[in-house]
Amino acid sequence: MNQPLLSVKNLKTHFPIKKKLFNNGTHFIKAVDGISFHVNKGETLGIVGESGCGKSTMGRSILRLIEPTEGSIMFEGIEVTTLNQTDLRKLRSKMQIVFQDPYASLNPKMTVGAILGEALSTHQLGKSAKERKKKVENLLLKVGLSPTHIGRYPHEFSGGQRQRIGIARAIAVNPALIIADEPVSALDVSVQAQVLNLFQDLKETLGLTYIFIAHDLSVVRHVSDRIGVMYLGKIVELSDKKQLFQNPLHPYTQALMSAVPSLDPDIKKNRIILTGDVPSASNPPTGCAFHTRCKFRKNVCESVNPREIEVIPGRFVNCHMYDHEFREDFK
Amino acid sequence: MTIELLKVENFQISFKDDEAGTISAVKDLSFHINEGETVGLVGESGCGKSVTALSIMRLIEKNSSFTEGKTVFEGEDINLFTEKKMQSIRGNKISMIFQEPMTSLNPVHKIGKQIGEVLHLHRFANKTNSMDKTIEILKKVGIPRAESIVNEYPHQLSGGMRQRVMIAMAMACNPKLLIADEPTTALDVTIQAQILDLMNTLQEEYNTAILLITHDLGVISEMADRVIVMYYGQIVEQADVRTLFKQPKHPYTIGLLNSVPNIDSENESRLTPIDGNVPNLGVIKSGCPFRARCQHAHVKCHEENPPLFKLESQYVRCWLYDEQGGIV
Repeated sequence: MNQPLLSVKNLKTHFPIKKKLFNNGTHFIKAVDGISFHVNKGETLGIVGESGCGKSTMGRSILRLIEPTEGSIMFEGIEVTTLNQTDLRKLRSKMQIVFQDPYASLNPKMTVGAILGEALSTHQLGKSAKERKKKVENLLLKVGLSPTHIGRYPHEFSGGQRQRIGIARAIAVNPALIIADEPVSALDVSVQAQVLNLFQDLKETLGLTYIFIAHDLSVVRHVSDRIGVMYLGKIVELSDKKQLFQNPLHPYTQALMSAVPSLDPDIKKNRIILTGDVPSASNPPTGCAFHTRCKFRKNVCESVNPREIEVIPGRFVNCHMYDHEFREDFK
Repeated sequence: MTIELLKVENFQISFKDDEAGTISAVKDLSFHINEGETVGLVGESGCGKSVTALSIMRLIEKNSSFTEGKTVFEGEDINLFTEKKMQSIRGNKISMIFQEPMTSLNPVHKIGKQIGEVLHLHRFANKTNSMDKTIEILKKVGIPRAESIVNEYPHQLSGGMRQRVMIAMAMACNPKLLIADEPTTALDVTIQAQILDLMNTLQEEYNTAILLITHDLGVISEMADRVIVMYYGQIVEQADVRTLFKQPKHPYTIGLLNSVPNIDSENESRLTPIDGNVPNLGVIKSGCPFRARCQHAHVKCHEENPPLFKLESQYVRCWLYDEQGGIV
């Protein structure tokens, strides 16, 4: 079997918070709390979840843009968490990120040529300024912009075009893996489709691997091969896309899917309406984090943290309902 | 029997701009809403949908804009009303909820006071019973611990709860028309489902008409009876919800529907996006504003802006349907 390109084991990212004046104990927001998955070369792993579930923190922790607290990240056989800054910088040319907000992630005082040229020179790609300019022009063509745009500033572009520049910057250094963090959620639908198609084209022509993070289930379904569903810092279900949509196992996945409005007015969904809000990550519920909103909950869910169950090979779910040990509880 | 509640006739909205002179944001906009009906207004950013809503409520600043046209509500043109009379309608017979509940609630007043103010203003409650009524309304929109929430501030609530408070405030006086401008855009899908469900329940109970403004076609398909598609300040297509989703006619509507990945289909193929971007307002002076992005554009589209053609079951602003229907 092929070795996965990226393999994450028990990744945790906790942020300390000061609680109250007379409370000396430090509390933590467990933004990412024990996540394990792998990504094979050439595939797209979709990560879906609602705001505050830790999906962006997870993406950034993998690149060590945020330092993870615990766990292992193996990329092409190298342990990322223990690398020193010099080696990490070298590795970052292999792992790139595309951010959500194309307005905030491009320096407004730099021309497109300078933005992309900087990425190239940081990673010593292109020997001379002339060579780099040539490369930049090529990059612009690759992402569907024109080489004549090279001297323009970010504000002269529309949102969709800016996101193309963000993508060009990511692919400039020939990465193997791109982590795309909500790359289309700030865009209008007609432009969103253009950018999604660009992601697909680049994947094919450049042989890229993606971790595609989004809150929009339809978008994730469209681009991914496998999908991980996150809730309060954990992946609660991880599965092949087809199986996930045909037969969602985790009660949260089921609710999430039924909540998405259909484009067909004739389909009246049998909607599972979750009561209440997502609990705070600074004070997550005991046991299963989802039990406060779950209609199948039993006593065991309130006290015992569910373990990862491999229902069929490659299909994981964190729910006591699928655990042999608790079969009696759900009779 | 359907009774017409609101009729917007020939809206023209334009803004003064120091550099470009006058920029037209909405042109020749006419539509109506029947009692108890949900009309969806859909379009991408900058198409004029929010400006239309604000103009109906007369909430656009007079100094910087020009608004023409009639807004006939229950048989009277509310554009002719005095500001005082208009105030007795706002929040009472027509109310509005906005996209971002945090910015539309007053951060320094308690929830109870903000809702009580609406009741008080429109004489649905007096000082002694306004708190009881407020709690009753909050319970109706599904807010748990309503008795204590009246004493809390907006920042203490989650996004979904804040939107419920907004809805409570909007529904406090039992309005005939609720204008909902992107009511669920800032919310997560599971919370969106709760809010849409709540809007449906309240509509059934009070027979409120809803003008639902959103860019989300899924929400439209789920909620609306009739749909109006806007592009560049104009209505480009109007139809009942089934016709619009099953037989879209305008190239823009078709393009929009093809751009959205469908959650219920296993279709893996590439999306078919619309080329290019929405042009900036004021750039296109003549012809069809969609022509530059349209595969069917021909000479006539460059020369003349098409009128709204009436087909069997829908209205379409496109020269492709020139011979098939009469001009409205």
